[in-house]
Amino acid sequence: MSASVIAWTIAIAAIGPAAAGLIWLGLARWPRVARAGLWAGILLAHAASWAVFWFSYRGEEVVWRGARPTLLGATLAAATELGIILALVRAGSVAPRRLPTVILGLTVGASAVVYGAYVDSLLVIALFLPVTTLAAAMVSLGDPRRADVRGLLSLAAADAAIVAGLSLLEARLGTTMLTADPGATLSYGLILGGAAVKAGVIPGLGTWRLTAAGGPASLTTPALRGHALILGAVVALQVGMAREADPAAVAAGAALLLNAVAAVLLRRGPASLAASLGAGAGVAFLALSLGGGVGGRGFLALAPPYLLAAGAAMLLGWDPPEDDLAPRERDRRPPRAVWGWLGAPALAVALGSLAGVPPGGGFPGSWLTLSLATARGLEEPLLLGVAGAAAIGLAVTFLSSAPLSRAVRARALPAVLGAVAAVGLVYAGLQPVRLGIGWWLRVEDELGLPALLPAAGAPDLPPVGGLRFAAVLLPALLLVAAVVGLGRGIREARGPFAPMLSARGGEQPRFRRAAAILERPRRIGRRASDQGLGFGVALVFEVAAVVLAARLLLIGARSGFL
Amino acid sequence: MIAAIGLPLALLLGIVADLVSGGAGRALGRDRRWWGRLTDRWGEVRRLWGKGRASERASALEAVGTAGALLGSGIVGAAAIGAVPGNLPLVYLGLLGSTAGGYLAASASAPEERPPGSRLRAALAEPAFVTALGAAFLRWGALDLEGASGAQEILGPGIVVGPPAALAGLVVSAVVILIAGPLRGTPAPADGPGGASFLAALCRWGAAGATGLLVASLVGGPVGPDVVFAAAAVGSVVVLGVAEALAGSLRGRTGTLLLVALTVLAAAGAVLVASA
Repeated sequence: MSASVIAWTIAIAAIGPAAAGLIWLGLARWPRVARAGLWAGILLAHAASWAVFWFSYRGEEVVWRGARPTLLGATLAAATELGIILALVRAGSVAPRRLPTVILGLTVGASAVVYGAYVDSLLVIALFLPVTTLAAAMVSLGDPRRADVRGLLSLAAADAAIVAGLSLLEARLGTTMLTADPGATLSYGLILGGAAVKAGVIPGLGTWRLTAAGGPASLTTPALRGHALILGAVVALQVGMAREADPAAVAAGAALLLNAVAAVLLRRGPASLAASLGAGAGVAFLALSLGGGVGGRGFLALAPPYLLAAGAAMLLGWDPPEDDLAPRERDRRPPRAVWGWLGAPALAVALGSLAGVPPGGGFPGSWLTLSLATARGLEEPLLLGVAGAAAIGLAVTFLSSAPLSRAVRARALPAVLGAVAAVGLVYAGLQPVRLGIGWWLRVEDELGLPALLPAAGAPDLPPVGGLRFAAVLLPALLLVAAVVGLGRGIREARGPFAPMLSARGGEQPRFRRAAAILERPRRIGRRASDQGLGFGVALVFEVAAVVLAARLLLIGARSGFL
Repeated sequence: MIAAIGLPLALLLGIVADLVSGGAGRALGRDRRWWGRLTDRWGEVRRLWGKGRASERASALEAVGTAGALLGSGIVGAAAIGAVPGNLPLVYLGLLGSTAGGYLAASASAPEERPPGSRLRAALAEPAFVTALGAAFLRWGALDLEGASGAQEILGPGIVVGPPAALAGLVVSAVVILIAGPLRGTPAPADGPGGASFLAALCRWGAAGATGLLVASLVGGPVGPDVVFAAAAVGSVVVLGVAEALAGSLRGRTGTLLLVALTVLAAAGAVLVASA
């Protein structure tokens, strides 16, 4: 492929989403034309991002100005964009007064994520880092209730921490270009910690909070999550060379356990969804922290299915308040039963993927990560505790989120797209080696990661062939098919989300006492939020991030980068 | 193709556990029709096949949840009999699938959770279950079932092999797994559609049988067409059935005490194994 074609493809992939958003804004006076322009632009950009992936996979020279995407970066960028597109499908039902910010937030965020994934310059990564946070902030500001704002403070702090980490890394490396430096412990901690908040791993902070609020701003979370995973991969695999980081592993295990606690105590559907998404991302960060060849491969097996499952979960599980819906959406007839038959199982598969249960796409990566943690735990007992915490986190969050599937109210397009995503996840879960081995080997070779030697006896995904899995799966499918066949059809079954802790349970004296203790800090937080204190502090953090990014810009200018 | 036997074997053992649970329930004075656990399933099939069957059908979510649950049970069953290479995370994720798939299926049929708090109980039993499962594997110094089977092939079945601390730890862990297993299990939806109830029963049987097979592979190995292994499998599901009947009658504070006691026992089993 010629260099100019590749260059144009990279440019379209990076700039296309933002351009599509601006086209929509420019043509907003003619809604149908604007919508057509938006979707034409975004789909073209998405096709270009997969073309960039394909050029990288084939080993071609993929360069355009400062963009030099690795195969891992190109893959995660395309997978993140897929999740953003799935969120964009639901954006059409948002109230008109909030729609412009949502569309612009998603499209500009997509460009920032893609371009940030393509570059190998600390400077550019730092410059584009706050864009996804600012996009979420822009959507949140449109809410008169300010319900989404509470996540922005911690997102801003996360951005400041990440840019601080990038600055420290630059100081160590003496260059603004990304190179390996496994000894950069402080940078590693700052960037990975900030990325965890941005990925929604930690309950009550950042993207977790935005998702749990459930409003239109939660639609911007696919961009935040993807951005965070790309950052995590850069620092742990490219810079850290898959180093082992036990404190980070312990923190990941603790975060998974916190997600389990939140899933039990919180009674709203969006909070349960946030806990599931947080647990799924937590396992990916656990794999990065455990490090080595197996940890690296575990992350590679987890990341693309996680991004797809997260996108499908937001597509089908997003349930906004009535006030945030467009009037035509509120007045529409309930969706037909057949879309529920597709949508509910599709969401169930996505949630199962996030929890790592078979046959979801997250199963191979979760299995590999837990195997590594338990194998290393034989020498370091603390990691056995981490593995146990991770297992409990996955189990409890899935139990809590199971009723989300019956509350699905999907219409035709989301149901069909969700079903397609579910089929892809099931295939990834049943045939991970066949699907991924070529990609894993190329990424590991490109990044210089430790090679997995079968003779070493380390945990690995066994090449369980299609026959053995089919032998286990077939009796299960036959039994279920027999029951469905006996009834000669399917029954419609919908219902509201049922929290794990019932209202009656929440009224028990011990829970009332705990709620009373928590009420005082909550009241202080609400008062501070009403006075704009939260906004002020968030602004300070973002300014700090911008100042540090500007410092990197100056260094780049002095070194002739510009 | 031996892997295909995993699920049917688990279901068969699960039916035994259900019947034992019914019998124990009768002994406790709760359930006069102990055989109803089986005959009621036939009634559900007849309702599904008969007139007015539209309201008795299974929903799409129930079908998918049950398929996932049975796949998890099949994986664990196949791993327990050595047909599929299995390690601790694989069997745990399989058991998680069999439990959570059942809850997924059960969530479709009830307007609210029935009985209330069943998922909460499952979540609270999880730490004890995870700890006991880990301790049972650690007793053999290996995290894969092949290692456990190989050790028992040389030393003998786990239930008779010392040292005393390790043996006690293994027995305690196995008992905790068999008690916590039913606590995690899907409850039967009361008065649900025939198809939904039948699928829920399949989920329960699969999970119970897979748990029993797994415990048998850890205490009654080596796996294979062996009388000792078969007896261990049957014995495990008998204990599981009795535990289900007893645990099902505990409510409120007594139920909470049971969960606390299980967690403490699991920790004690882990300490015994680690100290051996």
